[in-house]
Amino acid sequence: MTQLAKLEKWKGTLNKCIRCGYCYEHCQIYKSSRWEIDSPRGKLILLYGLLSGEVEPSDYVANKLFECFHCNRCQKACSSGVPIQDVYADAREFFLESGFDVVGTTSQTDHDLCARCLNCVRMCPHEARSFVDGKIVTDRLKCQSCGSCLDICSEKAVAIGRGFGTNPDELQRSIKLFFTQNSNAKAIVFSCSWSTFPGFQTANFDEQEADPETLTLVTVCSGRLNSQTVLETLLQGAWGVLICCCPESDCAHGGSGRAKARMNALQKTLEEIGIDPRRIQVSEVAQGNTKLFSETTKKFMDEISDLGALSIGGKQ
Amino acid sequence: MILAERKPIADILSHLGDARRVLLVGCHGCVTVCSAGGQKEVDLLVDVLQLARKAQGQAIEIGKMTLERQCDVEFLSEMLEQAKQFDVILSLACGAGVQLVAERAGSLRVLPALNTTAIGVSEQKGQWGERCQACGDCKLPLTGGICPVTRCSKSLLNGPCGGSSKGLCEIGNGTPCGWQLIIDRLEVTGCLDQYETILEPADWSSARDGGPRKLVREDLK
Amino acid sequence: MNSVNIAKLKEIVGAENVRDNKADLYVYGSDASVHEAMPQAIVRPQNTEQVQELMRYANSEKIPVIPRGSGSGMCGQVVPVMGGIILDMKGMNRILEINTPDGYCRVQPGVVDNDLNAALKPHGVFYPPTPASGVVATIGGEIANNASGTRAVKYGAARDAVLAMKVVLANGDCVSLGSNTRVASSGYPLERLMVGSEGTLGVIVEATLRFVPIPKLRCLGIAKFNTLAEAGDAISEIMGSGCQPSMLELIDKIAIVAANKAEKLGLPEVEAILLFEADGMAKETIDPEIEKFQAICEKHNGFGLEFSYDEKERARIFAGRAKLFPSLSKYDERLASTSLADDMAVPFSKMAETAKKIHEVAQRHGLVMTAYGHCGAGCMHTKILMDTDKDFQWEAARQAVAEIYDYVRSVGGTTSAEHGIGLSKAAAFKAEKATTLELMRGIKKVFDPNNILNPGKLMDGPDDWVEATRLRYQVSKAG
Repeated sequence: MTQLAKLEKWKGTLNKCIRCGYCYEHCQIYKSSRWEIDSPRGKLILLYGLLSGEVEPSDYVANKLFECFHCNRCQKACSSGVPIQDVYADAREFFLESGFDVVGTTSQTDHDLCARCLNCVRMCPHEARSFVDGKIVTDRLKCQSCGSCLDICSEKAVAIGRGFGTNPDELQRSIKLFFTQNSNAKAIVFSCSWSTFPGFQTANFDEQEADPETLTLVTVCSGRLNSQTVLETLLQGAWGVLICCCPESDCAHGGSGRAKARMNALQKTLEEIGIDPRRIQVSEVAQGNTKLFSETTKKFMDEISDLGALSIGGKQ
Repeated sequence: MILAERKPIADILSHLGDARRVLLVGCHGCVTVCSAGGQKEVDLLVDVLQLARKAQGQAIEIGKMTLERQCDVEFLSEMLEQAKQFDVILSLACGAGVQLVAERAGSLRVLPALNTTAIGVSEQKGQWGERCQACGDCKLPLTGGICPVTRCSKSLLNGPCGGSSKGLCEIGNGTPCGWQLIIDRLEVTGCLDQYETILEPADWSSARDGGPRKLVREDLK
Repeated sequence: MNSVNIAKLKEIVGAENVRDNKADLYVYGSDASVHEAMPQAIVRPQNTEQVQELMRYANSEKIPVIPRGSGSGMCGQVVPVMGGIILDMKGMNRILEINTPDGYCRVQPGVVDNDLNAALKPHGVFYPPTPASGVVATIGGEIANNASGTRAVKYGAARDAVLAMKVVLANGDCVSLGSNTRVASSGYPLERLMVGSEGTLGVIVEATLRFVPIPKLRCLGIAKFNTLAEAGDAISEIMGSGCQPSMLELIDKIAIVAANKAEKLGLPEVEAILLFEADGMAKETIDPEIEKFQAICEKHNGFGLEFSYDEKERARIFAGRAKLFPSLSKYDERLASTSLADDMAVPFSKMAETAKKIHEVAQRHGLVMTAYGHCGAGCMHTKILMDTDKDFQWEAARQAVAEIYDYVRSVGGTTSAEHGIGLSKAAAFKAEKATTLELMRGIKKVFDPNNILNPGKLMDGPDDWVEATRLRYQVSKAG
């Protein structure tokens, strides 16, 4: 495979990965599936295998490399200094050039539903979408799986195949489960992948004092959090919804500004229908500032506890 | 495309009154393209209405459909059949679509969820602007492709007026002076001499002022 | 190798919990060590009953079974040298009970250490082993390797925190070991035997752990030394003086340089740094300890001393040690950090000598080795920084590792302090325990007559770790 030469240059770097596994902590993809092949370490090991010949390139392996939300937390956390996203970028080029059928978490368009309104093309912060020969085309190298296109599409013609917990239907399922299974459930906190990603893995509680009042759910970018998802949360019986996003200057997808504008509009709507707009709030929390995250959440919970339950005739 | 935006919720709710069974009907046409009345907007409105009614302690049953277009009769039949189980149709189409549905809906009330605002284009992400007022007697050949009826706030046919300053219209809002745009285009296209042609006062009978217009094509009947 | 019936596995745990495609197998065939091998299947059981069924199947077909947590072990403990089925225990990751009146918690083996401590924090307690890899390491793995960390000097290792456990044996029986009590003297403490058994005696499906109160106050200090010997003498005296530090860490110059490079810490690049900490409920008990540490350090020419109670300051002081292990890859562009001679334990009085010996061995063999560790517990960590592409460097590493562990034995130390034996240290382990290997084999035979539980490890480990498996690096024979 002549194209494999592109990856050869990373051999030394791949040696530097000591496979400590600390990157598992930071990867939304891994935490959603909990299969090690979905973690950054897993992906790097696969590339190693490609170079040594132990692993055959295939659609399956190719898709693994494209299943990524580009949050870059793995690279930031790796103090062996492996430039993980750079390695991925070359690997992805390799797979595309080799003709593999890859999608991963990049966005897909249903051309039958598509209205050709081009809103997604304009919305894409990474110039990954274009309209060519009468169809929407997605550049799979530029697409960062942020989901902005998925959200803007009025026809719901855009999808991300495997959302790893972040797709609207997955979020709604988690929300419904949370409110039906927990008598004390009060609020959902939406955290974007970059901002306040909950820094712990998936240990669950069986009993107790874990009668949680809040559930934190990760969306890829707060700017693609559907207004409908937020309203559904209220309809499920939430007292309030908190959205944590990165400071606008930090957001690579233009999402924070959009999230604020959108929630602003929702708050106005709430007011018009006689519901206290403070039940929906957006807060900026910079990446890794777990202290501010817990303070913000606590303040929010205090506020909505004062507001009390939304009297909408009981939970569904 | 036709531009539209959703009416304030309070208005929609007051027009719905006590209606218990409401059918929301979206449109895959223009209102999808300007993100006002497509499937996504229908779904969102469903949730808003449910929340609103629950907050008032009232029940509501909501159906939803999104049609190819609401300005063609053929697309309406299935929906009208389903609508029989509802008290009112809330249409998210432009004013034309709402009216066609109303004409065909028999005893059912049909309400608009949108305010139709203009014929226009998309200017940039999240922004659309008016371009045409359907005057029926297009002046564009003489104005470099910029419409003086629409783009000039006073619809002057031989502008600009004294309120034009630094390319902006005196009404503010960053509105460009339509006639500045016209002159710039005429210059770029090497047609500046056309500016000296005085446009006669328009015959507005071809516009809305002459009554509701009809388009009849004998050769297509 | 006996073939594995994938359909049968899917029947037991559900198709969504079985993987057997080559790509997944390849990923699960490695851990944080230099070794790798291919398993035949990966299974993720969700409960004890499934583990039992899996064991019954594997035992009847004589298929190796290797329980695995997060695969953060550094010596090849979970590398499937004889193929077989990897039991990914991360599917059993619930915290079952936190019982503060009785002072214990019950957890499933896939719970991540940091998650457990996050759950215990509101109760004012913590589970003490706290290895540096707590962010990813699972309780099951920690128990199987008797893991510990910076706090071992005061609070002990996993073995001291394990009260009881439920284990599935090779024949599928599930037995309860130990008791939910702080003290017990009821026959053979089999639960203690399981600790450090590296998956060779049974599959842990539940563990009862004790916890200790989170101290109200912590005071962390740092002292710099111009020679390892002086640092070593300070260590011995601190440990011999009746002090009870809650942390006593040694970092050598190579490690300091690496940490500075990786994290831009600006630590002074001296021969040795000591970090010491005292914790407790009141300043009145902590201050005298800190003063004592300081006095001892100064007595042995320690300089640049500082200490603080403040959380931010302590984090700053500790920063270098915290990110040390992964930083070593940044020491030199051409060198990669490998987990070889990665840990050992020696008597306190021999700590400094051991560090010196490591440097001397490294130099002689043309390798770079660093010495750091929980010296308060007598634990020394090293890594070999080497050009992993070169054949002759692996030869040098082989000799260096052997020499170091010969030395460790000669001063009355032991092969592993807290990382476990795995494959990399098997030869040294067998040499150290030569007179008791038969006893251990006898015990293994009782627990696992068909030798399916993580075979090829411990007493049956390889004599030559370089040749034992495919190395995860591509080594060229040329120069």
